Amino acid sequence: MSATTVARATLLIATRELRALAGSALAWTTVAGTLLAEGLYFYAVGVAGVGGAKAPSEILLGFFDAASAGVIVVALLLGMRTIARERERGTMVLLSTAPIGDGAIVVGKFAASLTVIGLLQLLSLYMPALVFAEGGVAVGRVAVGYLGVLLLGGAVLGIATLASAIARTQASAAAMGSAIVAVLLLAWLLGKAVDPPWSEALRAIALHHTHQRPFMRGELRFEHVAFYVALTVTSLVAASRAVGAKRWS
Amino acid sequence: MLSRRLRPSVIELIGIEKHFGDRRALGPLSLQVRPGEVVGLAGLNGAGKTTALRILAGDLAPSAGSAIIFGRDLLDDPTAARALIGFAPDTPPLHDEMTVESYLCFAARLRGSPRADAMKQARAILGRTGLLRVGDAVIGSLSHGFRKRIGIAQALVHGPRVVLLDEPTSGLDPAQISETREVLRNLGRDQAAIVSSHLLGELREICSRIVVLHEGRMAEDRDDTEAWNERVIERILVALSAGAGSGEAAP
Repeated sequence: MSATTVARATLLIATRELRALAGSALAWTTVAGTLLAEGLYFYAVGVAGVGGAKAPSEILLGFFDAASAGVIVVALLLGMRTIARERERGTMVLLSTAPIGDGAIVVGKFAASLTVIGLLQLLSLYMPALVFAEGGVAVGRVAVGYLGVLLLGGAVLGIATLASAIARTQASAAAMGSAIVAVLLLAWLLGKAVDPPWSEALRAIALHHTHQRPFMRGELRFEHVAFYVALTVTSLVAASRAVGAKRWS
Repeated sequence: MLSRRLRPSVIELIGIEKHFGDRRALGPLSLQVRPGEVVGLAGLNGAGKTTALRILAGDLAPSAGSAIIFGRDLLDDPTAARALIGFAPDTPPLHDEMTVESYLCFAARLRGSPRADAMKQARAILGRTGLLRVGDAVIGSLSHGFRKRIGIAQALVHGPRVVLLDEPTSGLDPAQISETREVLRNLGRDQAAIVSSHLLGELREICSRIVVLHEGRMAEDRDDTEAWNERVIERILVALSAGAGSGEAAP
């Protein structure tokens, strides 16, 4: 298959998936709920000054903390439906018998969900914009913070897509994806309980504590970008293999 | 002109087997289908009809053997082989939120048709399958009969060389069955089709050849369908279910 054919098939699947998401109550509810939670948190901490008055940079740190928590939930919910929903509804056969690779199916569905996550970030932009208007934070810091949230969202979405490709139902995909993400979130805590080299290894895979916090502080480092990209690509390749393996089961 | 028997096969199953764990669901099964043939797959529940069709459609990989479509091996060159196939499973793979026309257009583009061609193909197949009046309807709002026909339409929309239909007339009313028969009769001479059905008389009506599967293996393969009547086929199936040999039940 030529690269153009693969790109065309991927785009076709992504477009259809995006249309399906646009008509999905789950997608709208998730996005609206996350925006509401982030907005309330931002108002309480940043505007009303709950917990004491804070500097703009601290408010921004708090916002990205909330945004990263929100994106994890959204990515898990969107990711669980990608493949497992097709299986539940009996529509997977339309894709699995089409002359397209398993990778195009997985990447197309991933791209559509990532677009929704991007839209969510766009809709939350007014909050850091308010902090920026108050002064004391640079545009670059806001941009790096959002890049971190998007990379985290992509990685969690990749894991959830893998779970969706393995599981038979959306519920089991959600459970599997959440379990993997929980382990990666708590890895830094587990790292405290064991001796080197295990403690270092566990800290190195900590999804949020090790790799997201630098982004929240406005620090753009290659190692953290590479971690999220590697996690996303590995998950998608594994998801693609899992879709192919189902033909043999 | 070459006689049908001498024409090269468009579908070739060679020693196909499928196991689900320790259970053998199909095979070893070998079968050749030639251009213009409409082969009916008959058999009791669990005979392996759906498994055979899913393997040919590329939805399921065989545990052993090979499946060749127009010279392309489904395992070695799956995308090229799948491009030649249209598959309608028993439960139509429909996206309920789409309109019928946009769904068929999507199905055609998924099988490699450019956007402009796909739209023309979708409109054409709406006409051929009697779906024109529901072209703008949302699939989720349609009855079982229409959904079944949309399932068949998506298998035919891109003009596949090989058509695979699993129980295409189950749940249809007599008028819809008649229309579906007509669609199958109008398949081109260079096309081939395999149709599975529990309606034995139905297979006799639309197929030029009937293959009976029993416990995953071929029990009968006859192209003198004129000689087959429902009682004969029924006798074969009853004999098979009772564990008797196929020869005993043959007409």
